[in-house]
Amino acid sequence: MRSYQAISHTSEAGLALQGSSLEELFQAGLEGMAQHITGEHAVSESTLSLPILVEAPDITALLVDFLSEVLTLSYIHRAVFHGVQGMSLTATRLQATLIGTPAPGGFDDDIKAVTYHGADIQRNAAGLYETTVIFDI
Amino acid sequence: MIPKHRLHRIGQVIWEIPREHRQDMRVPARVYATEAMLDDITRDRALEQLVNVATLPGIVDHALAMPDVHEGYGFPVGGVAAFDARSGIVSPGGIGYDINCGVRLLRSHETLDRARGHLEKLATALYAEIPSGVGTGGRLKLADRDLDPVLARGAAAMIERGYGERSDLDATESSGTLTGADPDFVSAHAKDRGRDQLGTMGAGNHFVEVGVVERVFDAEQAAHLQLAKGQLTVLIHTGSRGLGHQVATDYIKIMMQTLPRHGITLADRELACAPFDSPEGQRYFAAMAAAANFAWANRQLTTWEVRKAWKDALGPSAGALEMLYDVAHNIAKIEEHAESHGSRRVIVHRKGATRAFPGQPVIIPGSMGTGSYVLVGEPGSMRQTFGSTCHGAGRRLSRTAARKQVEGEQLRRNLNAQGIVIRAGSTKGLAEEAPLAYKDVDQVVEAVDQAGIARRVVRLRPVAVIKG
Repeated sequence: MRSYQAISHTSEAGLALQGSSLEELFQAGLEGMAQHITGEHAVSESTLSLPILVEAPDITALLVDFLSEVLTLSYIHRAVFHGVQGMSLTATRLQATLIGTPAPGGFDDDIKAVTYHGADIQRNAAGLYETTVIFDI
Repeated sequence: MIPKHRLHRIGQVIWEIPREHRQDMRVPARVYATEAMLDDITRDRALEQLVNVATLPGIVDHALAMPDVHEGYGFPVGGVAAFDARSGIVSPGGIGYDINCGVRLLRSHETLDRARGHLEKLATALYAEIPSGVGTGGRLKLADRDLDPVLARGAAAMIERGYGERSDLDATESSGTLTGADPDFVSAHAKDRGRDQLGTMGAGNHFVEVGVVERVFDAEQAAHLQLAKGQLTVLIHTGSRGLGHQVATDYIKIMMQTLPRHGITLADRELACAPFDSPEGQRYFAAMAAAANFAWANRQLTTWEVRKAWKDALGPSAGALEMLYDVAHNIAKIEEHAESHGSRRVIVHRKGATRAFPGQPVIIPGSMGTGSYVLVGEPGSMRQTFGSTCHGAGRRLSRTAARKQVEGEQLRRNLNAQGIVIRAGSTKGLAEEAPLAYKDVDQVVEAVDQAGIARRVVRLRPVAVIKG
């Protein structure tokens, strides 16, 4: 189970993420970010795959750094990455294959960067992992 | 959130959060605002973020908030902080991801009366000439051997390629080149994101705007700047695009990992920093300067595109577009500032703030449909704000809230009815940048004028807005 929901910020944009596991939480972040940059245009075909490896000092930083790296790859390859396969995840390391769709015409909405501001992965009373992530837009 | 009553009034438009407010504050925090503006300013976490800035090592005098301050991440937007060059830090979050986001104003020899019938054609030409939107490439795609000189020399490198006049550099902050830039400290990812983005506007709050001088506040200074009522101007607002975003991303990550080694603890990870004289601090500063140079090169190529569209739409009789000035509003600079016994070398961080040295033109863009200002820096800026002032109107509503209150197509019709031609790639983006999402720019500049840090010269009214 996973979910993402847009949250309000005066000048930026953000997501509230939840997942029944850390893998689900990371996947929710990926999907939420893809939805933000594609807007109302549905992503259908998955014709692109790229390996990704990210290391960070803790699990929250790992999520932010993972989303940052995906964002960078999105701009360099002009593609929307909305899925992930073969995720190997520890508290400080993520290795996976990103699945995406080319977007040669650019994106609907901009994200300049994924910030660490306010991000803090915790388990809630229902046992779900959750955090917020703020994007610089 | 810090309530209004915790602010101590110490001047007509100056408010202080004393050092005793929180144990970890090293200096007090100061806010420049009229009393009427405090309701908006205290509505979000901007002042809490300002207090966090006041805790950083080596901060000098005060953490400062300009009247357009609003919540950011780490540092507030509209914040200024100076750090001792020997004992202080440099923080990428104190500059922002869009390094050297800034504005450039061009003045024309054309008047609104003469050009009124050609505004639609001009707006269309500008929209066609300047690539805009997210992930859109520009007319150049530079290999590293061509990109590195741009990172090292900024706008000057574009002049050498034929995209402007040498005199353009004279009217650019730091002459369009920040010294100390080193392309080798800019990552391959950053170069890949930026290599085809010179001369592009981007999206969000970036724009190109044709304006008319609507009101003259200071006739002598206006004459000095060759501005007169009824004259058309062109305002360009863009920054370092993906290259700058990636430089900030790369170095915030690096600095977060080196914090324990430097014995620094932070209230917010986005305040990640390193001692200025540390290897991380020096490498970031060299990369930041390179990104700042990329931004000046971007505005220089955009200027060339604007000049081409201007000539194509209005013909040679419209005359040339001359540089009035170009200012950065997301940057860190090494500056000497006076103190009671001599001067001190500091790293001035301006995040959503503009340099305002005495006599220097300051350009303050407002929101679509309202107005923008040309100011001139006053001596008070050197005594009070490390030679800094505000950078714009400042957001007061989130983009989501703006979209709930205004519909993009309706806004376009309303602006058209006010005589403003709109060319925008995104109706949603148009709604997000609606005037109601911003503070009142007139109040913002009135506050800095009253504080004696920058003086109003002219007010500009938009007549054509081009957005991604």
